[in-house]
Amino acid sequence: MSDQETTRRETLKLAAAVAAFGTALGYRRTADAAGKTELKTELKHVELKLYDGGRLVHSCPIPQSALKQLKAEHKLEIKLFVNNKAGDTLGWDLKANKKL
Amino acid sequence: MEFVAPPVVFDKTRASRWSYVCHACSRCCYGKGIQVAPYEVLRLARNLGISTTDVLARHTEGGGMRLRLRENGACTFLTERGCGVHADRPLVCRFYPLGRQVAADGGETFGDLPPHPQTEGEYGDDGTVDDYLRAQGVAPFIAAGERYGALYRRMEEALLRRRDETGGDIPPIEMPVDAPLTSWLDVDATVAAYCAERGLPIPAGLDDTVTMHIRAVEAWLESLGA
Repeated sequence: MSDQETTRRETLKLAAAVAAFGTALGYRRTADAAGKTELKTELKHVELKLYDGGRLVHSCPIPQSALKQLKAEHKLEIKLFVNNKAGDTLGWDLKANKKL
Repeated sequence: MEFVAPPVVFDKTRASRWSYVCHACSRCCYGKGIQVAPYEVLRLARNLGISTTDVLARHTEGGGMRLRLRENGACTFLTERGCGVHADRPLVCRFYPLGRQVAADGGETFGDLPPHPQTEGEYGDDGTVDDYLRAQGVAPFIAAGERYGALYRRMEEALLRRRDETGGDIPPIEMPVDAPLTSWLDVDATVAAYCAERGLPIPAGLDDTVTMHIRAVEAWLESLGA
């Protein structure tokens, strides 16, 4: 490995360490290097909401494991199961914004 | 997972009239981003009787800089009886429901975080922010944060110098959202390697361990000519 490559490698490691320490300590951006914020941040989440007309009947968060996979072109399918057997399917095409 | 800072007005000082009584409803232990610095990971490790390597692997995400959340959004350390590591809980949990901002000149201000709509905590003005912070035992965490802050600034200066020397041929410094863990954040592993290389005994106390950790990172910086 050339000296130049070694230097670049070391510099990248240093950049990663700076970013990691900065985040862990609450420094948000290099421009704020001397300042920091320490607080509980809020998790962004998506909820499934069930309405009867204008009345909210129920809401629950969509699990993070599902959110990680969710993309705009995906279809959201709400499927009714009875005794582990699939019944009616209700769905909404997120991209086309229409009922399936 | 994506976390965002809530809207906070940092309009309080330590002398401000303010009080809060927690009734352990645990609602603030769900869906929160709890940042953890090396000292906090070290405290958690000693509380749990495991290494910082194990704490980072089992209980953190986001590159080892944030506590892991369970599928239901609960903090990894939440139990049926409340916080399972309460004596060694992280700094932002001690501040809650306050947030702290430290300006470039070192001046600190505090602000109210938006409370959970069903919180059982009681807000009042029976004391001062400082009274609350003392009761929460934040001093050693802030002291450690200042020591690591000085190290961070030295690292950053070294990086900026390198960037100048190499004509800017390094990526811009950006804080990672889910960056891979840099091994330098792992206190026990870093200290063990540093002590082994130099034939030094591994320190037992928290402060001595932090001192050795900082010394190890500084030695690395010196090896880079920083």
